[in-house]
Amino acid sequence: MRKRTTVAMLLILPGIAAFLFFNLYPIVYSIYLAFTNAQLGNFPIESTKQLNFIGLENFNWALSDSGFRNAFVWTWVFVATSVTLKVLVGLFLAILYNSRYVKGKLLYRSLLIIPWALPLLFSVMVWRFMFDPVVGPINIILKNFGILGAPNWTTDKFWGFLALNVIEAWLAYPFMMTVIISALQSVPDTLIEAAIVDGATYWQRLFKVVIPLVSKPIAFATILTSAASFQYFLVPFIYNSGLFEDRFLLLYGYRKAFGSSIPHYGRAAAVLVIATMVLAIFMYVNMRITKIQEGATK
Amino acid sequence: MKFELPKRKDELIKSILITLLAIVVMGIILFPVYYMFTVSIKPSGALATTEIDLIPDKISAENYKELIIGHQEAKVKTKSFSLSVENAIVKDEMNRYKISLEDVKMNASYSTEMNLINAELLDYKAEDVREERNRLILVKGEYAKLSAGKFEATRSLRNLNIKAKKVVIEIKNPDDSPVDLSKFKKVGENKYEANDLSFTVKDKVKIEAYNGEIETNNFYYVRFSKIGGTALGYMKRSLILAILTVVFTMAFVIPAAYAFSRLKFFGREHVLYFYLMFTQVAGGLGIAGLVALYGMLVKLNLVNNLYILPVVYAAGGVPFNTWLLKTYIDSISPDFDEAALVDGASYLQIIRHVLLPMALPGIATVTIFAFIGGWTELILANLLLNQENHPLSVWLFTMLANLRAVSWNTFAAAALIFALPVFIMFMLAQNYVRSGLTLGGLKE
Repeated sequence: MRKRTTVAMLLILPGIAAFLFFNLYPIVYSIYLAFTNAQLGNFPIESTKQLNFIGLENFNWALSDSGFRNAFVWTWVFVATSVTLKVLVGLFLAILYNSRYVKGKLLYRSLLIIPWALPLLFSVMVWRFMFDPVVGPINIILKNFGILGAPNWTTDKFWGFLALNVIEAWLAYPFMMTVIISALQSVPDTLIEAAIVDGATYWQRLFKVVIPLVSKPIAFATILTSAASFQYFLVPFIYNSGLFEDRFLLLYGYRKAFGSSIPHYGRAAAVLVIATMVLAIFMYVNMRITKIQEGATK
Repeated sequence: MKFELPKRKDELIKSILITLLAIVVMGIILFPVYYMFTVSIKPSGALATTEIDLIPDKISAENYKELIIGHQEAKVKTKSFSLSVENAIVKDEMNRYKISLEDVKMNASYSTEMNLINAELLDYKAEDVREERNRLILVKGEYAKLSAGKFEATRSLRNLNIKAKKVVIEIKNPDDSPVDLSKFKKVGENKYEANDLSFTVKDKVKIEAYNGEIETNNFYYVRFSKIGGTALGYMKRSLILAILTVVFTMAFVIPAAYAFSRLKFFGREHVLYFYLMFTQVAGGLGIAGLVALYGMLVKLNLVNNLYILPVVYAAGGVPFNTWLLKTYIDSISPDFDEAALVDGASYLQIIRHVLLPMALPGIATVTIFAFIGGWTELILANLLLNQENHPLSVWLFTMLANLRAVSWNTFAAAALIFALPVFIMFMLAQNYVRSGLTLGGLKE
């Protein structure tokens, strides 16, 4: 038995050592940095200044910083808008491509999975082109409809934010659609037939019978996708990282460390630690709420 | 029966309408990817700003070729030259006429500067040959012979002798003609044609010629440079990153997955549970750890090191990939490896000779995930690598930030070169991704 444990330890050692050293240790180290004055001059290598422990100063700074507050509020705005959009789009597509009136739906579904198979960087570039103010098809269409002064989707904060919502919905719909379709398929036909016999219209059946039955998987997918929205980083980073600096928490933290001429690593770490804590609480609360619902329905 | 028929017709119309809606919605959703693809196969610079070109009328692989292979350009400055080409266009400097020539020989003794595209040096006699990075320069030589796909004189020249199989002149006023038009046949309004003709054009003219050779005597210089082909270096580095990520992932994951699946040992459940929890929050935590990871690597003097990044990528994938492969090995009956154990095989022998061949589909899936991860990673590579070490992802990212410097056509082609391997691999692994999704759902 002891020999087995030794062998097992040796077998899992390379993986776990690399993981601890390159993943877990940096996270712990980042938490430590959040309590120091790490900045240009003393981090990564101490040269002109000393690296000191400064307690909660970085957190105090964050709470009074207008950029951080903006990013915090707007991150939640984005979670609200993008999750609503994603769920609605997912539901619409799932219902449409699961409809018995649609012929050849298996083909459409397998084609609709394509965005899933594309690397994120590529997808964002495609959309950056779509939204290009001069050569982008969206503005060309708007112009053809006679809309003068079509919005600048790439450098205007409001329209850019809208564009990010569209991009996120496009990136997430394969996941939402797949989850909801598989949930819809598990709804027994007998229930729907019973509703038809009772004289329920299509919309009544949809909202009173089908959607309540699939609400649990939808809730599960919604929690996962809202966590993704909260951690939105790569898309605004690629799309226009300077413009959205004070719109997304993770991006704000990243830019404090690597996107400014006077990097302040301690503050960046504090921002990222706060973001991670908030995310953890958010996920925990969500899990609890859905668990409660689950208990209530049973 | 009479009651059934209208109902069926009703259903039919409904079915047609909703199917149409489904197709239109799919078209709108997939349009961006399709459009990006059409942009990449259009000739560079041909991007409309007023209408959407759904089906491109001119298709070429030029953008891809330019990015991957590139071409040789040459500049020739000489006192005299002779050209023999398939096609040429000679235009009067004052725009009075345009001569189109086929199968033509031209020569002139006039100071000329010419740009050659897709050029190749066939023969030369020169004393002073200099080689620089990507460039070759011949200075003041006696003789040089080059072939090229396109020739273009940058300045006008006089006294051009022409001998051609077919000559077509477009001219507004016949009095301006550089050549006696009596030998020509009028083929259209302001258009004259003749075959097998030689003549001299005295006016100052501009030359453009395609597919042929140039010979020059007593040239000032011939300068070669390689243009394009930039993507190749980036592709090579992306490939190094991706392949090494696969190698390290295998080393980290296969032994561990075997141990977790087959051996009962102290702490097994704890580590497994921890791995599973970690996969759920990895994305956000990854960025949280970025500041410290950057500091660590700077201190260890590993910045701008192409070979350390795959280790970091593989380490980040350990929890997810170990889980994936462990679940796969769980589904293989333990009878085989237990038999080998009884026969006295060592654990490493069992892994190599029994488990590896049986777990091949699972390993293939992990390989594909690891490859995609290494190929597409952007943040760390962007942060840690200097320009000479940039992979495709960082190159695309920097191009996007500086869009004015490139045409969207080239950019779209570069983006597709980046996306295509991932797309193909993902399609191959699609079923496993679905099962990975259910794996995530199982723990609920």
